Amino acid sequence: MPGTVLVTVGSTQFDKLVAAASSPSLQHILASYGYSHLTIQHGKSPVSSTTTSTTNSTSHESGLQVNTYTYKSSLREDMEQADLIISHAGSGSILEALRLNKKLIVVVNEDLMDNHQQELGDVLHEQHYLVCCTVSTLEKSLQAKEYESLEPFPQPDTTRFSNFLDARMGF
Amino acid sequence: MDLHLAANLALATAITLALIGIPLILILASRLWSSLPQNRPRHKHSSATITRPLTCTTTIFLGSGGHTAEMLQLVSGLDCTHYTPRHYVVGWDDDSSVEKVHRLEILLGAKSATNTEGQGAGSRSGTGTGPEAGAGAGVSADRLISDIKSSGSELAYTVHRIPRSRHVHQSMLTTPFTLAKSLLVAMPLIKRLTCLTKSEAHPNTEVGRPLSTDAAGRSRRSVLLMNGPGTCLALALAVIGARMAGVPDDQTPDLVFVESFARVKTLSLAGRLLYPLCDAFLVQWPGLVQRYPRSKYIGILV
Repeated sequence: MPGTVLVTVGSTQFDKLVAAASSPSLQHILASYGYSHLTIQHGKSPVSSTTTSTTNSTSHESGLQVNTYTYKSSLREDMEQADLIISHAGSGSILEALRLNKKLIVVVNEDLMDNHQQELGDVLHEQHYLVCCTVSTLEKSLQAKEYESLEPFPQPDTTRFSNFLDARMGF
Repeated sequence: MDLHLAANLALATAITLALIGIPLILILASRLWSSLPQNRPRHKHSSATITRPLTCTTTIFLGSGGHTAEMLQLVSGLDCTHYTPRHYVVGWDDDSSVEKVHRLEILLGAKSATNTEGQGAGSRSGTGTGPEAGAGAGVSADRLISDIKSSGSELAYTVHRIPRSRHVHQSMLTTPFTLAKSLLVAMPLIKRLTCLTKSEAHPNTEVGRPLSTDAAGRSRRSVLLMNGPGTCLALALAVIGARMAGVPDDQTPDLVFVESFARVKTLSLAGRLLYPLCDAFLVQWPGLVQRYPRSKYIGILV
């Protein structure tokens, strides 16, 4: 039974993603999939006044409970509680969500000059660890439901690096 | 006539400068060339006559944010009884990384304390002897304990701050000045933290003479771990500078760079700058190895 969706922009500014998450059409889709809560961590990006009128408001149209805040020192707790995470494509957020084995949709910010986020999103999408899209294709990606059948991301293997260094240093 | 004299003087000065300057530049360039790892014979740890090291002085650069998170993840997997002492170098105002270091070191200390449980060796600074004593066949326990005691007077880890080489959005024009500033701080720091003395690198032996006993042959190593961003260039340059000045390889730290998990097809700026300087260069996506043949892929590391 799906429950909470977390939308996160991390410490970046990603107005378009926040706007998309606040839009009635996206909230309708989420509600129709049975999600009851939507948390939007919007950082420096503004949230539309209808969404923020009260911090803990039930969206009158979709019946989704919407909760917004700017930033927390650790998003871990909110990530743990989420059933679906829609995140910006920063590698830190991606890793954190993948390690928690969450259904993850990553939205690449096309307005950024440096497009290496796209490369990371694409390669992880190819390997079916997450779904990578842009703001304009977010709704389509949700409807395709590919995020329901993702591969679990392997747990961190710290022995790879320590074995490498041990061999190098002669231990 | 004065004009003539001045012209002659200028010409003489130019010729003198060229005579001194051009060879100087050539010498420096060839010195730099031969100091780059790909142009050096790797005799450091490949020789079979060198026995296992006792400990490895480990200097870790933390570049804040995602860089710090990835690096601490790497460090968390190391055996801290081998990799000791650990020196963390952070950006001047990077309090958040310092806090994360303390948190990780508490975990490492706990890990090493459980490793040494029942061994009876004093490990108040986190330098346990459990695995070391277990692994060192034929090593006299007395010597081992005295070694640990002598390093036990210092802390198992230290934290140092250096000025950033380049601030976010800083102009490329002023970057050489900020880089020079961090280099000035980095050079004495590298010398103090990472460089080994000849007797540490080759205890009780002279160069060329085979090592006598196992215990005597145990040497100290040094490694510098980096994963960006640009400020770590100052640390790497300081090490290269030491090699250019003639400090032998085994007394300078092994330069190890780990490119970020975020880099799939292209290297980061720090990666591109450090690629020719580092002794080992790890990437986390196989596609990069084709473009950068000196790099190595051993899987995702974080």
